[in-house]
Amino acid sequence: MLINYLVAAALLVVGSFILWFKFIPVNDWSADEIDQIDSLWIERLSLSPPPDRTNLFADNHEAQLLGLQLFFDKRLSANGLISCSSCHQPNLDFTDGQKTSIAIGTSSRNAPSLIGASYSPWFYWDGRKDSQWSQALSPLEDQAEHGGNRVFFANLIASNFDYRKQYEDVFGALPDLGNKNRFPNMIGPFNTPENKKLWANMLASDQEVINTIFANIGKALAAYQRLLTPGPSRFDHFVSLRNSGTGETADPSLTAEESRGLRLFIGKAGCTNCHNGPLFSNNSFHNTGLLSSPGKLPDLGRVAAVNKAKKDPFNCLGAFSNNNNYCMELLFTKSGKELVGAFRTPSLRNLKRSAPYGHAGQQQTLTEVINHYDKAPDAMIGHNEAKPLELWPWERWQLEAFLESLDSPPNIDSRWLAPLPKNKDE
Amino acid sequence: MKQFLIAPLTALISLSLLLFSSNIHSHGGVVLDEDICLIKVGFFQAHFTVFQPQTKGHEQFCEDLPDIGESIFVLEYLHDGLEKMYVDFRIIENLTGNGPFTNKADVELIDDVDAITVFYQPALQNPDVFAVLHDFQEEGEFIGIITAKHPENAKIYTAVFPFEAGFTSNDLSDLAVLFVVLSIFFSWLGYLVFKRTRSEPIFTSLLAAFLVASVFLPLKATAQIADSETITGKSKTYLLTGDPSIKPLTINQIHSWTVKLTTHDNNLVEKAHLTIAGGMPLHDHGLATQPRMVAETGPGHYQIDGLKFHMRGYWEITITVEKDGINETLTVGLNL
Repeated sequence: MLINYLVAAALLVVGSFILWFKFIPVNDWSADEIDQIDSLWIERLSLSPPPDRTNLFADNHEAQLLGLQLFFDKRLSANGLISCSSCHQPNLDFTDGQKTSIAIGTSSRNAPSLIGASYSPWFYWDGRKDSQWSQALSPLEDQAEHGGNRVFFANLIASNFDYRKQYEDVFGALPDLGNKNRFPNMIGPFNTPENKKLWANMLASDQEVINTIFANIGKALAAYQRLLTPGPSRFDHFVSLRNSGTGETADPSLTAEESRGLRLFIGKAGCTNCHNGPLFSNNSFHNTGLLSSPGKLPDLGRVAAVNKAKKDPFNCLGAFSNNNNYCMELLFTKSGKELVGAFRTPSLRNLKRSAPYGHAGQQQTLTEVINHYDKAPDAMIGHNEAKPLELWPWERWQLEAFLESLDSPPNIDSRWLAPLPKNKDE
Repeated sequence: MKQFLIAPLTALISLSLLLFSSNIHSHGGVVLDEDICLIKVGFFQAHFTVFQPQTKGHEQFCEDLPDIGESIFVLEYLHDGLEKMYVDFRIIENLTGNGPFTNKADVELIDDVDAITVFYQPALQNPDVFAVLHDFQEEGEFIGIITAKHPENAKIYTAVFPFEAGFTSNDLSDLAVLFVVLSIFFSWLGYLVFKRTRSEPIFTSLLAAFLVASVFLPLKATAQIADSETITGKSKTYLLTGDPSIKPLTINQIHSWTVKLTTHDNNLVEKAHLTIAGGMPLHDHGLATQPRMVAETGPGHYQIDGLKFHMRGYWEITITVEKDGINETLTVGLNL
């Protein structure tokens, strides 16, 4: 008799749980929740990224075309095998699927997606660059990445008929770089002792000539990358339907599980503390207690990057910036111990094709990511800002389901996703 | 209390004490103080933690390490003094025969420290965090030696701490104790539930009904609508009203405020200096930027640059007004 009661009760509980979990979406959103949801909607994102006043050519069509060519060109590397697209592959939302990137050498960080990157005031996981054009310069000279140097890149532009023409159409006449006494050939990364010596022996005015061409290469690359913006996801469709009033009765664009995940995302799980706004990122720096990679010391992150950004000759206040009057981010950035082990909040709009996650690709799956935030363990260095969430298992499943509904295919014309027909010199 | 409760409860309490007490120990220069592992280098203190991320994940160790392999020693200075010093870190084999009781005097007796050194990190001056990585190849007893050298007076401070790497005994006994505790706890719980159910057969049905009902009656979230249009602050002497350079005031955008500072009887306050701080009291964190007053743009009107709010919710901006050597602080509350 008792057994029968128990079995009936158990069936009732399990049955109603499944019914709730699978078939009953949230239908009692509060005003505050609706306000939160609306703030995450892609329509709240400006159609094109905020103006970059440090780059006069940021939205110049010819510069975009030149940037596209350069982005996919393997000649922009010491060994002729690496282009920007080696680690930022269009079919992987401009990531590379690796924990840490492999180019000429192995990088210490994970390749972030470039989709929507132009909306951030800071670049790199640690924000050591304050503009997209300035960021584009570093990998070119990094010994683990393209492994080249600015004199080599300037010569490449000057010696290639098409590049020369394209460059001059945008940036004006190229000076003559033919005098090898003034512009010596440099081999390999910029910072080798030999190259440093060659550079130091150049006239300051000649250094400036090279730096200007180099900065312009970055500006063209940035102009291209500013086109890489996210498109609407199923979540955005859900918000559109709600906002137009047609979604009140049924929300076909989010399942029951996903809508419960959304409620957790903006509520109990506290995700919008950092993953806020239409890109699901505040582009600020936070320590979330990720483990160090095998064989590596814990990464200092932002605390070690603030001075790099401030001292960078290619920053907002530098000689190669087209406008030094709008540098508030650089001038008023915070430094200090709070930033030990802090990294920039990544957008959540490209999760489907951008695994693994974390600044060194420490987490392979979203399940791992969510479990990590659920526990919020102490950080190895600094202080983990996240607090344990103590979610129920099904809440973690709901959260994961919601994150998957954010997948936003890029809002880019396909002609920008592959190189143009080859240059004839290539 | 009923008699049948006493025996299992006593067992539970005493065994859990046993379980947790095995983690409380200290020797040498490292002490575990209220769950925080500290090292004393001379009279300077630092947080001291060891991680074995590849085998033990986020688990923290104060000195003895359960595994060999990759171990990361992290020092976070609690004393400003250490930030300016040159700190080095050495690990030697412990051949003193004194095991966990090895002290500084024992180490000073060693003739050739280099010969038994397994790891050495030359002196570094690091204001943020001092971390070293050593990959222990074999298990054994070791001594960690940290020295801090003052950059000016060349004074040297030392910390010595003996430790083991690759010990396993504690792990097994901990697990066994945990197993016993859990089995007693669950059989006791099972017994209680069984008794309950027999006397009140309706109990489970009620519980199930309650669960089902709670599913269909979700609690409404409390709504708190933001009002971010007014920037005002008040202190004993002053009134402040602000005008942000972006309207509506939104998150994640760096911007400026022009603030008007008056006394309570509406006189403009000129030639004051404002210092800006703030944060989210509920989240226990500060601002994402370091805003500053950049100019007095007109009598009693001041421009503050570099404000940015990187989360939604309640923010407090504290503005300290310095006028004729007297400080007074105003707080501006903002709901974003």
